[in-house]
Amino acid sequence: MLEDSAADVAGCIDGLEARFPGIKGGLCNEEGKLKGVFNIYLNGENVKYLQGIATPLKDGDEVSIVPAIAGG
Amino acid sequence: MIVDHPGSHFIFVYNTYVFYGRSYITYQGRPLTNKEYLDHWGKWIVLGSRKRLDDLAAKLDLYVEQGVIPCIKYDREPPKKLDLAVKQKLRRRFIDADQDEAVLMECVMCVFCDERQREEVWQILTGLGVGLKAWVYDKETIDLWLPGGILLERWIAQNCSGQDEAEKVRQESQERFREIFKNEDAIYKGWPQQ
Repeated sequence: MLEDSAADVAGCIDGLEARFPGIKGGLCNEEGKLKGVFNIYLNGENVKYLQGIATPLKDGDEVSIVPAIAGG
Repeated sequence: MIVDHPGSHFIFVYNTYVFYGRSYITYQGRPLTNKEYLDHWGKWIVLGSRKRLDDLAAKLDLYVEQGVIPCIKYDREPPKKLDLAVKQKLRRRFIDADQDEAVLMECVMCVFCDERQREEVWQILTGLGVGLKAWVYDKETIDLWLPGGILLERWIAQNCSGQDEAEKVRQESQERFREIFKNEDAIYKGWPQQ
């Protein structure tokens, strides 16, 4: 578990990239859109049902990244 | 009741009424229609070792038997790594297997329910130490089991010996889901899982 102060999910991904270079390429394509390999959840809800990587974050939110094949 | 058949990929936790023909895919005691199933049915995902999930299943069994949690299933073992031949087959279908095959190294537990009661079920899970909060609608999983979906294509790459057999499996998958959902007001019947 990591803490971040990002304003949205995209910022959160950028924060991960700063700490773990290369991770963004595993999550997003060259256009910055999420690939289908991982799902990103905000407080349990897949962000694709919210505003995608533009989904805003607030203090206390939990962002989880889970392989898309989990639960298949 | 924990149902553990060694030949199955999964271990299930069912209420015993399932064995008398009652569906567990219900909300407030009423079976879901096909449309309701697609709109509302899903699962909380729990990741962990086999041992951790066995221990959790034993605790959750009480809630299943009480009818609070409809059903649970979890992996007998983590997904196997894909060998080179399988990855090559997937690449021919424009599916990049390198990115995903190595990252799921734990067993996955699915705690099923209607999303209208999912927060009640979540409170049970978090009370038992589950930290990861991830809700997956079953309609998302269905998409992965349609032609071109990563789960179906992985299964085909691992189990089908040639193109003809692969196409037959894809057509059967398409037909199975078309048949299930052609009448959205019919009661959802599901399909057997192994």
